[in-house]
Amino acid sequence: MDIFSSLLTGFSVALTPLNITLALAGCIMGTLIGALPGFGPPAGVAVLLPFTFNWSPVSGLIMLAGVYYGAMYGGTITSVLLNIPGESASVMTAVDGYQLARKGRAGVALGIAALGSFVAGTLGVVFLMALGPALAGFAIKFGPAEYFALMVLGLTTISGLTGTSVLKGLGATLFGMLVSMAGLDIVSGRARFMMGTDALLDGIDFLPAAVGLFGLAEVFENVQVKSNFAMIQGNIRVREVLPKWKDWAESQWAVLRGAVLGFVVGVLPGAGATVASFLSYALEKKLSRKPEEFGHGALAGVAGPEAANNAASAGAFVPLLTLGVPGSGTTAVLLGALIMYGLRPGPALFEERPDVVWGLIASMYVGNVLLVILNIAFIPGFMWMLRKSQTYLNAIVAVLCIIGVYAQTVSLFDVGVAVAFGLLGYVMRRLNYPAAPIVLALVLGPMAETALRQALIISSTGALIFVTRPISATLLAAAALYLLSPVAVRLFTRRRPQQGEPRTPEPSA
Amino acid sequence: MNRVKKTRIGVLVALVLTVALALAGCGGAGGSYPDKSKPITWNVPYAPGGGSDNLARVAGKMLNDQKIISNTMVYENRPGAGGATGMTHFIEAQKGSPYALMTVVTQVITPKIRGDAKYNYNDVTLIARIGLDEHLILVNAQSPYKTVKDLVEAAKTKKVTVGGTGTGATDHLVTITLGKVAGVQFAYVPYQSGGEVTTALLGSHVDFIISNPNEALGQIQSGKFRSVGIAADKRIDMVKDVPTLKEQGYDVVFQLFRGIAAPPGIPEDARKYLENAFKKLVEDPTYKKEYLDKNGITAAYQTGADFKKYLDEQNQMYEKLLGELGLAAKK
Repeated sequence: MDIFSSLLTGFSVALTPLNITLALAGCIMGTLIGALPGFGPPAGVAVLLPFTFNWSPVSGLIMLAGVYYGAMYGGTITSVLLNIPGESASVMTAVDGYQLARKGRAGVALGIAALGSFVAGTLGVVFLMALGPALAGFAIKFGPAEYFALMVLGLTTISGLTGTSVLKGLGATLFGMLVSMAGLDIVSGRARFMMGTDALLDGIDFLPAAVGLFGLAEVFENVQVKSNFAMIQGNIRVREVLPKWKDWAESQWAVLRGAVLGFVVGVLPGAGATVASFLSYALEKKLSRKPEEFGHGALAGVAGPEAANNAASAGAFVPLLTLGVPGSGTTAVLLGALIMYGLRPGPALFEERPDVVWGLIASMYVGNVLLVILNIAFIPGFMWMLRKSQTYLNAIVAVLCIIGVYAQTVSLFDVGVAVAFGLLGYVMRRLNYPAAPIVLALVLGPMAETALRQALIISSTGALIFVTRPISATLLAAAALYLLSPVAVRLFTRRRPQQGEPRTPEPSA
Repeated sequence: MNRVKKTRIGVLVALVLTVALALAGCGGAGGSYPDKSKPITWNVPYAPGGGSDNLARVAGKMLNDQKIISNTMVYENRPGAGGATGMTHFIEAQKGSPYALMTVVTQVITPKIRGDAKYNYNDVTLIARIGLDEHLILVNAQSPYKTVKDLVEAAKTKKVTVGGTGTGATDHLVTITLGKVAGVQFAYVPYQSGGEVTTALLGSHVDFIISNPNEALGQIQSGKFRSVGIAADKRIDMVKDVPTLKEQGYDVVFQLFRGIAAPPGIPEDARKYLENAFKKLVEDPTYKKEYLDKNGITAAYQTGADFKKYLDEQNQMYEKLLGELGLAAKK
């Protein structure tokens, strides 16, 4: 059956009143879940799962999938408005998005993020349809050596993301990697850096660290600086708040690049939206004509990562549907859901139950449309929130942070971790150290270390495995290129010194 | 009305409401077990979507559908530390409550041996063992290995890699045991989850994996994986033509028990009720069809008391194996 007739079958399934309602319900709940720091999509999907037994498997899947990609839209909201990334995929959005909000351009940031998410999400579904099975074949070629190389690429790009000082960025990255080593190590089976307590057995989780470093640190700084300005002064007209064509023109290429990059990375089981979002950020910063804007409110720095994380969540369905392998925490729950419905995902599913697969794919198109409308419609409402003085927002943020961490982990220890990271974040801000590298290293560090050791166990040629395998060699070369490009650029420009240009010291990467 | 009078009336109303609420709260206690209005909370000490989570949800749904227990079922996942986090919370927070249940797998044995938890199976009220999950030895369908013997022979001359879910996990222990019996060593590559292990074999990054039938069924059916052996007592229906390791000359039987437990200190009548409920559940033909057969799990009902004896034996075995790996905590 060719793709178009399959898709038409899919739409006939997706566009029933029940399924549209369920898609809408899923999207709304997903947005809320994504916005609230702490209660993430895996937990949301798991909690909603029993209710879906009332309906057919397709309908249940449509709602649960809506929760999943809805959360990618929702995570943007608190990232931009309150500087609290709801999950790891929204960290990069917070970096520039929040700065845009401080300049009164939150509506533009949210609007471009929503539009970018829509375009990329839709493109992601198109790719899923057209390239799914082929890409699945590519994805399984990624073994430990390739993952390690990808992580190295990710880690090298982090220090360049920060803007002020490469050295400080590097320091933050290394600190994040150090912290990530606490906990149970699957290779040796032993626990490391336990500090004499069982509480660290699972290591330092991303969420308390991110909420602390971004949200609580912001609160502490605001309180100390005694700012009680409101981010939006005076009255604003709705039309001024929404993004303009000019803003879209500025971001469209970032969105397209983010969509492709995000989808490809999202297909890789385990890598997912987080890695996609900051590879996109790094790419946009490298390609931008005004890289100094990044970190202070560059629209491309919001559009790219947002597009990437939505395309990545579409990509995560590729291994799930074609191989029956979950690519992320949420798709693992979805896999469990599929099994409970009596469906076995894998190549067989496409043939046995095309109505399920294509109904799901068609509903993703519908869901993206619903979400972009919802998100843009709510922008004036969000802007209203920002008219309140900073004092009230501080209180809201602090409460949201603590509750969010406790809701996810049900552990006062983790709340303590969040507060500790909040204090650390405050100190770092005063000393001008970037916070984003710590959380990103917290996510990437363990993956890199595990992949390295797995690759070395598998290899019969020792460390040569990383360069003898083509994909891994390519990724490592890309990382080397990224690191060396400022040096190369300087080498070339030194040969042609400009008139009257003073020799500047090492430019920040 | 002047302000003083308003305040007095307000206080009076508040007092009356508080007393009423307190009395209403008292009314609930004293009914017989089970109080149908109270929900039963399933504590799953693993992430949603996994085997334990699946068991909890399927069992809970079936208990409702077959009208064995009509209380609403609520599910709470508390993953972490190999099941120790959820188990510790269950024992400490739900002590004495007959409205909480926990799915039991190795979290009631291994964490205490490794020193990661204070509690083990002696600290919960065992209700029943309801199944035994088997271990399949799988290779990629395109690999040259057709029998376990092929793998063993290859391991004598070169590195043969096996993917599993972490040092000290049951698939690691199966690997070690098979290695000992066959006189070879396999290179164990740990991954974070069953999903990653499956992907690794799909990409032929490891030579073989050891997996529960349920996790691998999709790949077996689609022809991507080939099963070369099963570490069971006898062949299972799901993969009828797969010979056991015993048949192939390697006496290795290793099963993953699955059971149900209630918190410590529950009243005896509640325990008897729950034991009967699960006995009825496993005798129900829907249970066999919807859970056991679908997931390739062998029926193996045991009452709480027999389950405890079984776990004593399992505990000894795990202690020995983990001790040899150097993972047992110093006593």
